[in-house]
Amino acid sequence: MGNPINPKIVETQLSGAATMQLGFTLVEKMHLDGGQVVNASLADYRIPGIHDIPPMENEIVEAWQSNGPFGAKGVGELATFNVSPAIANAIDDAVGVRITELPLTPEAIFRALRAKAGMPIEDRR
Amino acid sequence: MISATTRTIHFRLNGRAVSAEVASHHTLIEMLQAQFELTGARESCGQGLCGCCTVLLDGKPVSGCLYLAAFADGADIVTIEHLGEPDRLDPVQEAFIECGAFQCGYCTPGFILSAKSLLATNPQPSDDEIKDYLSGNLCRCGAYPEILQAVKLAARKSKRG
Ligand code: FES
Ligand code: FES
Repeated sequence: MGNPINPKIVETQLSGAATMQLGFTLVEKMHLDGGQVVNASLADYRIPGIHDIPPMENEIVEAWQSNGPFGAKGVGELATFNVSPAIANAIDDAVGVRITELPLTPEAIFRALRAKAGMPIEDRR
Repeated sequence: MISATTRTIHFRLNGRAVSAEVASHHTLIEMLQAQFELTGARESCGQGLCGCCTVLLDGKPVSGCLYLAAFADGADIVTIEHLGEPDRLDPVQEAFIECGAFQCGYCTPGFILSAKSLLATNPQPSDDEIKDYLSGNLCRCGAYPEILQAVKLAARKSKRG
């Protein structure tokens, strides 16, 4: 991932990005009504708290980014990439449904299971 | 001057006796920012859900966004600005820096004050006790693993004295 100029910050970026993606993957869903966000508060739009964090280990694989400053490379949201696929794979492995839209809420899983069983849940309008 | 809608309250703020003119609907955070230029406690959710506005009131953490300023009459208030000096930080502040327990820093004053008050009542908390105590503070940057480490380090530092 380039040259870690400040390894401590690189680690925080990694676990921070993974935590953010954990929220997007499991709980964060914006509800829109006519273009307006209707759950724009932390009461209705939950984000990960300290209890939601699994044990994490960060490892930096050093490299030299020839066109980056001092061989560095932006670490920003790097660790977001694999969180959602990993959890989606785990769900598929556990109950045999592949969900390709976030968030992977209990409701989404239930709907996918019902659809798979040939009894899809109709949305009432 | 006292009008029908405001009253004068007297309290201690960061070790000094002060007074302020407050309207009944003013929150602690509004008063601290507008009348005392203390911006370390900041409003984020305004609903008591994130802990960014935490201040210590008689030693206990309260959400400044919900706590009405008028109720602070006679209280002893400590904000993040009162902790440590630039060249002699509080052990909790030191620990947060050493563990890199933040990214943007928006949530940090709240976490530090909550951690202070945890350590004041429970100097050697377990991981679960730390998590329970800090569950009312949210960090959008997800610095939780480092925050946990920092509180444990602060506990060790305070033990050494
Ligand atoms: S701003 Fe007070 S708890 Fe969020
Ligand atoms: S460090 Fe950014 S919100 Fe906590």
